[in-house]
Amino acid sequence: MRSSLDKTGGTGFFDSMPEITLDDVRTLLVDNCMLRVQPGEIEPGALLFGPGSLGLDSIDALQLTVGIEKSYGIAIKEPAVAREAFHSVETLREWLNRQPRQNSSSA
Amino acid sequence: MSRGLAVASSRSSPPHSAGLYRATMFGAGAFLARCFPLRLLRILAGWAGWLYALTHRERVAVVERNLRLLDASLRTQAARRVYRAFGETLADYFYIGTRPPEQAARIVTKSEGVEHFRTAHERGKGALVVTAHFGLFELGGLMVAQMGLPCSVLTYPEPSRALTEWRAAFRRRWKVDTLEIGADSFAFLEIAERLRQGQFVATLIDRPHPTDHTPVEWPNGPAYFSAGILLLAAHQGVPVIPALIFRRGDGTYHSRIFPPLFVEERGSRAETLRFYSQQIADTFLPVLCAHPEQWYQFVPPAPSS
Repeated sequence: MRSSLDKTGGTGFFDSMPEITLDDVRTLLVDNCMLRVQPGEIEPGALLFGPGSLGLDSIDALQLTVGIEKSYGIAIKEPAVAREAFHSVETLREWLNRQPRQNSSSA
Repeated sequence: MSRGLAVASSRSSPPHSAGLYRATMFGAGAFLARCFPLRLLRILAGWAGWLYALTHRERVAVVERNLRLLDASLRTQAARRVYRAFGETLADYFYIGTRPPEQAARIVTKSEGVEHFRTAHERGKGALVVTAHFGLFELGGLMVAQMGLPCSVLTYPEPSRALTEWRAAFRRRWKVDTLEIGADSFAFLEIAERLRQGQFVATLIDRPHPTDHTPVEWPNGPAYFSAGILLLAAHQGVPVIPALIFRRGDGTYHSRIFPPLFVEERGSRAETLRFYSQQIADTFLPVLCAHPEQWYQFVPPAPSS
């Protein structure tokens, strides 16, 4: 996990990784999920699943995890972790930025 | 269009009588299977199924409509035969569940394509085994376990916790694990983990689900598969192995394991699912047409029906 030191000026490996932005996450969502909105229309606080959300389903979740792994080399294996990370657009962005990354083909 | 991943669902549109689909009834069936010879049990269960069909015309009509998707000449009598055959299958189900696994496995006297399981296992990853509500599909888990291969069966929670546990315990006797999938959108991660561990994960595919329904064409009309899980197989790089197990004329069973499919992206998600679902439907079709009385398709073919 990326520590707070990493965020505040450490010189470790993770510092070389560009920050994943809100637009990156929006693009990730539109590219991998069956959303009928443009990336710019997605609010940072928008929930991903459940009532009043963007309306993602389990196949979207599957596609999204695969998309994240392809783009950032971050594998999600635990349902509990996924539930937490995929709560909203913003929690996903924050969570992604805390993870060690192996590559960043789209970031 | 598919909008969610569904597995082995009997809950999307309950095809059964709530009064019969209970742990106590399953327990009673297992008790009878210990007391009576299989031949007598089959006769009694077959009559019970026939009687059920005579007294449940609306349910028989649903089955009849489904059968006509395969063969337009099939009529009400054929649909009633489905219920009789289902009774007999239940007798076999309870029989094999109350015998040692080695003895139970001897009910399968003809197998084709077993090498596809072995080949998949040798690749070092698991496989997704897809089957239909046809014949005695539960035997598939026993077969895989008897080959020494790790196996999980995907299922939705049954109508009661007691029945879920009863059926899971039933499978556990064969060293077949049950992976219960509820409404959790991330349940696929658990399935993925089992595939990574080299397990054979078995699921039913031939019924629509409210959030997972991919159209397929039978000879006389469309139906829907809950095929979203095929995408998981694609992402995990494991083969999809279609398999059917059905009763032969002498009362023993014939397993047919078909060559594996390797799911690859073919256009959009919906196009990919449609392509491979149709391939599976086409694979199943000749066997279903040869034994329509064993296609226990008790729900309407479309999710909105």
